[in-house]
Amino acid sequence: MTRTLGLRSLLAATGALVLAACGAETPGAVHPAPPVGSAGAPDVYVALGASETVGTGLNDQALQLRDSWPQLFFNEALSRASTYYNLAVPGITTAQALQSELPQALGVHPTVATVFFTVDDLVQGVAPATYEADLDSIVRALRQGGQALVLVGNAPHISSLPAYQACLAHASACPLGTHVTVPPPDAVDADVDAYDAAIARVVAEEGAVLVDVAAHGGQITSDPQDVASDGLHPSAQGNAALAALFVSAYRAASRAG
Amino acid sequence: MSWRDGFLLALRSVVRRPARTALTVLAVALGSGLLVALAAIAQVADTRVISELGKGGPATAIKVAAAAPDPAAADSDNPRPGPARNLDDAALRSIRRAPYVASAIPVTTQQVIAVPPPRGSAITGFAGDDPDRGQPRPFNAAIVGVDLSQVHDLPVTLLAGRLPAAGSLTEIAVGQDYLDRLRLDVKHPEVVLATEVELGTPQVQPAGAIRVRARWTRAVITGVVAQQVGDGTFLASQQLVAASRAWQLGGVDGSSLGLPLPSTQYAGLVVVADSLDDVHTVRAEITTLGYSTSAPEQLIASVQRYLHVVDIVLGSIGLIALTIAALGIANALLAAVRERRREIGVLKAIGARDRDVLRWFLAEALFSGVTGGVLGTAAGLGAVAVTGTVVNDYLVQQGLAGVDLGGVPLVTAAIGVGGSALLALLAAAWPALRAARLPAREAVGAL
Repeated sequence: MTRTLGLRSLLAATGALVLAACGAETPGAVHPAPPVGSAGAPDVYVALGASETVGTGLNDQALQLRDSWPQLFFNEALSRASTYYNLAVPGITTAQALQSELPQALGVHPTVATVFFTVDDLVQGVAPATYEADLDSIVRALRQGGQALVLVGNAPHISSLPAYQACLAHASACPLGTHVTVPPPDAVDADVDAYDAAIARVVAEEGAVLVDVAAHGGQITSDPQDVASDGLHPSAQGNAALAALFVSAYRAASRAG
Repeated sequence: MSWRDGFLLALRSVVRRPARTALTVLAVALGSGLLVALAAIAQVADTRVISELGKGGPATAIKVAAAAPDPAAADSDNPRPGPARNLDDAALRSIRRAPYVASAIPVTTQQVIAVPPPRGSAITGFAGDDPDRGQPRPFNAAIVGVDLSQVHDLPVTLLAGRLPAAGSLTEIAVGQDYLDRLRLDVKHPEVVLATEVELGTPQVQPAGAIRVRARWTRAVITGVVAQQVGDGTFLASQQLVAASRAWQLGGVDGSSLGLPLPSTQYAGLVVVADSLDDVHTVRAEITTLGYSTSAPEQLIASVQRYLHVVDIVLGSIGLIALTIAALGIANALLAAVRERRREIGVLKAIGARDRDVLRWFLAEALFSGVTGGVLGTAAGLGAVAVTGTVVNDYLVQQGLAGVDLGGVPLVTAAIGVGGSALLALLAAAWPALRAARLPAREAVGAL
């Protein structure tokens, strides 16, 4: 009996040693790879616009690359397999964008596009009818017969912007330029309303999606936290608020098919 | 008497003298265990040292730069490259056709702006270097693109996670400098796994208010690597780099902005020679084709000489242990012959032949050899496993890759058991012959 037990112990010890040898650690096993989800559908996203779309107002160029609203939209709304091009140019009007931004956008065959022009057309006194025609050309081309989802942002009332208020109070201290005379608030708001009406018509006609920035614009243009130090462009928080509006509109449109 | 009878008789003798048998088996086990452990550790150490010199790739890998060779330093392991020279498909084909070339893998690089990480994939432990947002700031970096299906031929060591899938446009591996840049602990590379990084490729426009436009993509970090393939923070598939590169080439040269167009199709090549002996010949051929090469051939030759000395020393220690074990077997059997003279005499008196007695003692020796060999080999492999675990823990703590002990080395185990059995038979030969030749009358008379 004792001998049998001894033999069993011997066999058990041998087995344990062999198992220990089998369990020798191998490289790469210490920090195994966590699961990676699907990369999703490969959308091509283009952002057309002016300085707000570039990210002007954020502290430096590095932050524009991280915190501008199209960048946030790209990260939050689109899949990892997507590609994004920001084609916006500061100070550009819709007519100029038709010549410079649109051809580049069409060159990458977008499936998602955001269009956000208003302030520079307003500042340069572009007539709402001209603005509407140019915007319609851009949106129609981007839609590519319905192949791309185009989100068009309208404009909030900008008369509450700190920069506008500064120009209104002291023309000599206007951050938009010395001795710039700005129209009265009622006139500016009326122009914005005319632009927004034009945007609504283009969106309806071309089957695009309206991003109603105007409806939520009061905070973006007047809250000190949402406006950058230049008093004109959105801050990081303002960019986040804009991005949230575009993301929300995109998701609603995607759900609707 | 058959071999079976011999074994049964030997087994009865073994059971009758358990203490002596146990000590003999222990001596054999110690000898074979020591030899197996030393052989396995020496083999792993040799492989590890040589592979370290290959920086994770084969030691026969040669790096080819997109530059002309410096004739004065052609024989150096790491010569200073000459003037830049386009390394294109034609050069790649010529090098692939050269003798003793097993493979030639092109390497591409692409300058990008990296934004780590976008929202929604926060890195554990990252304190942030941007006081406003608590997120890492974008930085300029380079992606190194290779055919990831051939990564085993490249100087790439995986430190955590896994490599990106071959051809993937959405997976990427990062180097340790990525962790340094984010001020993360290199001993815990796993914190960046499964987080995303945004990659922007600049394109310089011919004119206009905006001179640079970026093409942005996102990639998930699947692994952390140490790589010597090319200068870059990221390692990705060649397809990912090609897509980025195509965007940059769609613009104009931006040297004035620090964004020059690439001057060469490939940033370099990794050429693998058929064997270590062919590395010099292949390097000479590539030099003749007009490109600068680097490979640790002289360093490897020097290290191999030292490793050979270490192998001899370790092997000698193991052989000494086995010799002592053999002497133990011989001594035990000689004592057994003396003790069993009466049994030998009785066996011979009832008709047993010399070879029957020989079988009896050889079977007993074989039992000790095989049992000791199995126990010793298992103990040796167990010791290797424990050593490997301790060494791996240390290497990982130092941010290095672990050692691959390869599980149970079957050849080593077989040699350990078989060698012990053979040695036991050799050690038993003389005592067994002495017992076999013992005349029956003398054996019985000794009583």
